[in-house]
Amino acid sequence: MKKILSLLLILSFRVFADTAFDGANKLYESGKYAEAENAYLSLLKSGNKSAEVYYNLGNSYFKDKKLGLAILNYEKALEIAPRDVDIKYNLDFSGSFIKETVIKDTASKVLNTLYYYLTLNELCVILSVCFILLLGVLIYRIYRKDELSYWLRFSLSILFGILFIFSAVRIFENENTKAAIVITASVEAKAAPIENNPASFTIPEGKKVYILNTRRDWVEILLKSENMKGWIKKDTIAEI
Amino acid sequence: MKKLILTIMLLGGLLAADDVNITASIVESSDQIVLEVKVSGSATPALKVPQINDFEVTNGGQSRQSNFSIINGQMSSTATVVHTFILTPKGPGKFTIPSFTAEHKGKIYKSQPLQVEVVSGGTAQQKRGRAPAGTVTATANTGNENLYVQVTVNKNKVYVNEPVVQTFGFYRRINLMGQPQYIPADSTGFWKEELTPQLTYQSNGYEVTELKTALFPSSPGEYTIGKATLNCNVPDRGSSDDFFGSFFGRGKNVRLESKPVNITVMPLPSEGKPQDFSGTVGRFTLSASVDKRDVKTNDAVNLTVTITGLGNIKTITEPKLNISDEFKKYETVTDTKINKENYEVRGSKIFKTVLVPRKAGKLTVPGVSYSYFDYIDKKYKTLTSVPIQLNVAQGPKEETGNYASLPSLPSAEGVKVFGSDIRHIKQSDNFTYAKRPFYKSPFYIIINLLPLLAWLFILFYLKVQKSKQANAAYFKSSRAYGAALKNIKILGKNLKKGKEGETLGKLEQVFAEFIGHKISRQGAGLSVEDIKCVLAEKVKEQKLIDAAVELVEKIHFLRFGPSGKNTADLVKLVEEVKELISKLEKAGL
Repeated sequence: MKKILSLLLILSFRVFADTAFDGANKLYESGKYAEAENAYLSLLKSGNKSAEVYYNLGNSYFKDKKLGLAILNYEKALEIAPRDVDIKYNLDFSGSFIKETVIKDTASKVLNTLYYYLTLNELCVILSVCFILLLGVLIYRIYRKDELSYWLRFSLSILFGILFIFSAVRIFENENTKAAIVITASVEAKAAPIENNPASFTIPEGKKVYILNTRRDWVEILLKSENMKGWIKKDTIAEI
Repeated sequence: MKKLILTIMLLGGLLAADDVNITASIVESSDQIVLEVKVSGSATPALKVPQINDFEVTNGGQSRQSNFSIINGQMSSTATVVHTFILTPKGPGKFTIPSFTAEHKGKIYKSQPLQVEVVSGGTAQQKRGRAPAGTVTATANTGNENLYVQVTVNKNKVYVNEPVVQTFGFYRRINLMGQPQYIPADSTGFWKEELTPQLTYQSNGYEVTELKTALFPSSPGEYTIGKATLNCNVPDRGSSDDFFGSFFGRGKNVRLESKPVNITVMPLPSEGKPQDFSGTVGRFTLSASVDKRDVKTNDAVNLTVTITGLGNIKTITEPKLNISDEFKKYETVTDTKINKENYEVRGSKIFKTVLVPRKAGKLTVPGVSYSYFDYIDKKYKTLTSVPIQLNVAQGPKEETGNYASLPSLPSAEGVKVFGSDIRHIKQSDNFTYAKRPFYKSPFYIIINLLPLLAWLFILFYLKVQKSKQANAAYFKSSRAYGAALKNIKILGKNLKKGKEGETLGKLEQVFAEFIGHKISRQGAGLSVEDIKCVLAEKVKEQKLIDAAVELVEKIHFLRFGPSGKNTADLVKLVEEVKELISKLEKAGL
C-alpha cells in the first residue's frame, strides 16, 4: 500500500514537472528570457535537477546577457551529461565571450574531453563490474586452473588497476577541488581578505576559478591556467 | 619689408704695419650690404672673419689683383685680395660690424669696426613692370633695370589637385660673372613636379631664362608661394666700361628676390560627387585590355587598366576591379609614366592584375569604372571601360592543396557561416538527472565488498582445511616412533606371557604402521616394495635400507613359512625390529 502511494506521488511529480518544463520552454521561445529563468529556477528548486533544465537555464541567462550565470549552468549540465554535444558547444561558445585570450591547444582539449568522458558514477559502475568479474575469475581459479581463466585474470587485473587509479584520481578531484564560476562583471581579487587592500588582479565574468579557502564572506581562489591566487568576495562567484 | 635707405659708410681704418693693410668698406647697400674687405701688401695672409650676429652673412667670393712697379730702379710687387661678403640685416637698428683680422709673420693686422644703421622703410624699392604679356595673372619681381627676377603662376584660383604652373623668370641685360645661385621659392602645401627643360629666349633686349614648376595643391585654403632668390655675380657697375676691370674679373654680388605670390585653393564641389570618387583631379581617359582572350582554366591572364591624361599622375588611385569568384585575382602591380612636354604634367598610370579563370566557358571580365574631377569642365566625370569576354577551355585540374592555400578567397560551395549563436534549448522531457555520487553510497560499497569477502572466505577456508590436514600428518609422523616402541613393548610382554601366536603378524603391522605414519598413509596396505620405495626416498644409507628390507622379508617368511617358531627367536626378532626402528628414526625417516 505504501509503495503504491509513493509510486503515484512520483508519477504526479513527473507530470507536473513536464508541464512546468514546457511552460518555461515556451517563455524562452517567446523571448521572455527573464521569466524563463525564473521558471527553470523553480523547476530546479522542485527537485528536477536535470541536465536539460540546467542547459535551458544557461541558454536563458545567455540570451539575458548574464554570461557568468550562463556558463555556470552549462557547467552544471555538462557535469550531469558530459557527452552532450549541445551543452559542450554552448559552453565553448559562451566561453569565447569571456574577455580574455585563452589559447587552448587541440591536444589538451581532446585530453580534457577524454578525462571527463564518463561521469563519476558511470566510472564507478564500470569499476565495480570489472572488480566483481575479476573476483569471479579468481574464485573459479581456486578450483580449476585452465588457460582461459588465466588470461581472463591477467587482463581483468590490468583493466581493474587502470580503472582503479583513474577513478581514485577522479574521486580525489571531486572531493578536494571546488570549482566555481565568476558571476559578476570583472571581479577584483585582493592579496588578503581585507576590505581596503588594493586589488592585485581582476577576473572577467564567466571565468572558472577553484576555491581553496573560505574565511567569513571571503574565498581564496586559484586561477589554474594563470596560476594566480587571490581573495574575492564570496557572492561574486557560484560553485558548480 | 625692411629696406635699408642709408648706411653710414666708413672706410675701414688701416692699421698700417710694415706692408700689410686691411680695409673694410661698404660698397653698396640696398636690401643688403655688400662688404668688401681688402687685404693688400707684399703678402696677403688668410683673412679671419669675425662673428657677425646681426646679419646673415653670405660669402661672395674673392678676387685678386697684383701690381708690379719699378720706382727709381727698385722693383716692388704688391697684391690685393678683395673678399666680398653679403650681409642681410635681421632687423632695423644700429649695428657694428666688428674688425676683420689677418695674421702675418706673427703680427696681427686689424680693420676698423664699422657702424651701420638699418632703417625700415619702403621708398627704395625698385619696381619693374616689364613682365612679358601673356597668361600671367600674378607677377612679382625685384631687381634693377639690368637685372631682375620674377615669379609668375598661370592661375591663382584653383581646385585641390589642379595643376598650377609656376614660372621663375630671370631677366638680364648685362653679362654675368659665373653661374648664378638659385634658391627656389618655398611652396609648402603643394606637390611639386619640375618641368624641364629650362627655357631661354630674347625679349625686349633682355635675355630671359625661365624655370617652370608644376604645383598641385594638396588641400584647400590660402597659400603663398614664397620669394625665390637668385644670387649672382655681376661686373661692377662703376667699372663696367673699364676694359681692365672686367678683364680682371672684378665683380659684385647681387641678390635678387621675387615677390611672394598668393594662390587660393578651392575645395572640390560636393555637388555631383560620384560614390567611388577617390580624389583624382585632371582630365583622363581609361582603357582596359587583356593579353589573351582564349585561355585554359588555371592559366594566367594579364588584365591591364591604363589611365592616361593630364593631372597629377602619381596620385592616381587604383581603380576598383569587380572581379567575380570565377577568377582568382592576384595583387595589382602599378607602373607610372610621366611626360612633361609643353610644360604640362601628363602621362599614364598602368595597373596590371593577374587573373586566373577557375572554370571553363565564356567568362566576362567586367568593365572598370573610374571617377575623377575634370578641372577644365569643372565637373565630375566617370570613365567606364568595355567588358572583356574570355573563352576559357578546361585545363588540367587544379590540385585541391593549392586551392586550400588561398584563404583570401571564399569557398563557393559548402556551408556558409553568417553568424553564430548558442544552440537552441532542449525540448525533450527525457531528463538526465543529477545523481548522488555512487561511491559514497553504502549499497555500492556492499555490492563490491560481497564478492571480495566471498573470495577471501574461500581462500581462508581452503587454507584452514589444508593446514588441518598437514597438522594431522605431522602429528602422526612425530608420534610414529613412540607408538612403534610402545607396541613393541606390548609385544614383548605378550611374548613373556606365552601368547606368541600373533606376534609375527603384529610385528609386521607395527613396522608397516611406523613407515605409514611417517608418510601420512595407512600402514596396513604397504607392501615390501612400497616400504623399499619409501625408505629409498627418505633414508640415505643403503645398508640400513637393505637391513630393513631383509628383516621385513624375514618376518614375512617366518610368518607364513612352515618352520616352527620358538619364543627365544621371536624375542630376538622383536629386539631386532626395535633396533631397526630406532636406527631408522635416527637416520631421519
